[in-house]
Parts: sequence; C-alpha cells; structure tokens
Amino acid sequence: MNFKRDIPPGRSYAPNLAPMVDVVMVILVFFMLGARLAVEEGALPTELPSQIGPGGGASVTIIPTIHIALLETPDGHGCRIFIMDTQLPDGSFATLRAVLKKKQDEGANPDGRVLIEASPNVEYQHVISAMDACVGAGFANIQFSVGGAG
Amino acid sequence: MPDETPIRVNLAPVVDVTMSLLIFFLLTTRMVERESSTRIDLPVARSAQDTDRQDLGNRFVVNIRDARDEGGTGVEYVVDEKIMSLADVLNRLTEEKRHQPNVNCIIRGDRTLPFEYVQQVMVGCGRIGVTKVTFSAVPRGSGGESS
Repeated sequence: MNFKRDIPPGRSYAPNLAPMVDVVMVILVFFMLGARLAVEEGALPTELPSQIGPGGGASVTIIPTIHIALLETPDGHGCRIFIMDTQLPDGSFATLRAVLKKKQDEGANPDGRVLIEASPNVEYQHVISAMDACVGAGFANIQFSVGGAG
Repeated sequence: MPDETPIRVNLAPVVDVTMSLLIFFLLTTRMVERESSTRIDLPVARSAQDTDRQDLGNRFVVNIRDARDEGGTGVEYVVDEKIMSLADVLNRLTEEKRHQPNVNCIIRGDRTLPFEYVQQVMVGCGRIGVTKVTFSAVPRGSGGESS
C-alpha cells in the first residue's frame, strides 16, 4: 500500500499530533489532580492492656514511668499539659517532647509505661500531639487512661 | 509578493514536555487504597509511620467525623461509608473479632473532635478484647505541634 502517493513532491509527511496532545493532556490533568488528592496517611499504633479485654471494662492499676495529663483550657481549644502532676509553663508539645527527652537522658527506661490521661473535652489533636511527643522522645510503650483526667 | 506558506505550530516539543510531565506524575502518584471516601481532617503527628510500610494486619476502620459545624447531629461514626451509632460500630467490631481474632482497629478521627468520642471507641475495643488500636495521622512536620 502506498501511503505517500498523495503527498506532493518536495513536501514532508507528518502525523497529526493534535489528538495525541489532547489525550495526553487529559491523562496529565487526571494525574495532577490525583496527586493532590492522595494525602499521605500515617499510623500511630498502640496496644490496649489485655487485662481489660473480655470481661468488660475491668479496672486495671497501672504504675506508669511517666504520667501525662491533658486538661482543656477555658476557651475549649487549647490544652494544659501536666507531667507527673507538674504543669508545663508554656503548654507546648515541643516542650513536652524536650522534657521527656531529658527524662530519658537522665535514665528513664524507654520501655517503661507512659500513661496519657486526657480530659474528655480535650481536642483529639492534642492527644495525638502528646503521643507524638512521647514517640519522638523515644518512649514506645504508651497507654491511655480512660478514666478522664482531673 | 508575500510568502504563501502557512504557519504551522510545531507540536513536537509540547508532546515531549507533556509526556515527561505525564511520566513524572505516573511515577509519583501513589494509588492509595482509600479507607473511605469520608472526608476526615486527620490530626498531625510527625512520628506517624507510613501505613504502606507497616503491616497493620486485619483492619477495621472506624471514621469519626466532626459534623458539628455542618448543622449535622454532631459527631458521626462511619464504617464502610455508612453512618452508624457507636453501638452498631461495636457490634460490627465484635463480629469482625469473631472472624479475625487479631483485628486491628484503626481510628480515623477529625482533629477537632473532643477526645471523648475516640475514648468511647477505645473503651469499646477494650471490652470486646481488641487490643490493637491504631490512630491515623498525617505525618507532617510542624503543624499541630503546640496547643
């Protein structure tokens, strides 16, 4: 089959790229939007004490290495941080992390229990930030008290 | 006499650049298996581990949505894209635990939620005997660090 028979002599033959550009642009836009939507998601794993398993809400006495309490501020959005019943002056999780790091440097066992006790009205972000500070400072054994701080 | 030759746009460089961009996005876009189409504004935690690299085992995902600003009923529990009560969520979890004893309960909660709602799920997990609980978070740097 001679495809070149209609091409006048001296003129070059070029495929029409416009439809290809159209399709590729649509695919490109799809991936650009897809990349924006795919928010990276991480995980903070924890284990609940097995003693409170089947049997239903049995009270367990935990003697933690470190006890962190979170209480909401009167405006309801912030939180006050207590570590071993002492309030952190600036209420920042960066300070909490630094204090925990210092405790570990002073010889606190990194496998020891860290108990986080949060008031029911504290924002979830603050609880996760406290957990994040513990993990960041090297403490892995984090447990939650469900009795409510106060 | 003016030149009669029509001006044609050379599309070849456009195709080159577009194809390069396409390959870039193809390689960088991760087709994340979405737990739910439920829009959740997850809390931020620098130390959150990448879920792809971590073996989370048999998962049971509980989405807790803060619908207080949307004129909704308040806080909604969403499992498999269905809004249900806490009791129904725990019934589903009990069923799941019967089939998969090592079920891992993944809590995806809005960052603005009062902790109480997350706590209720944790207490339920404890009662059912689900000891593995994982909190979903966005592993970003500085956001949400201070109170």
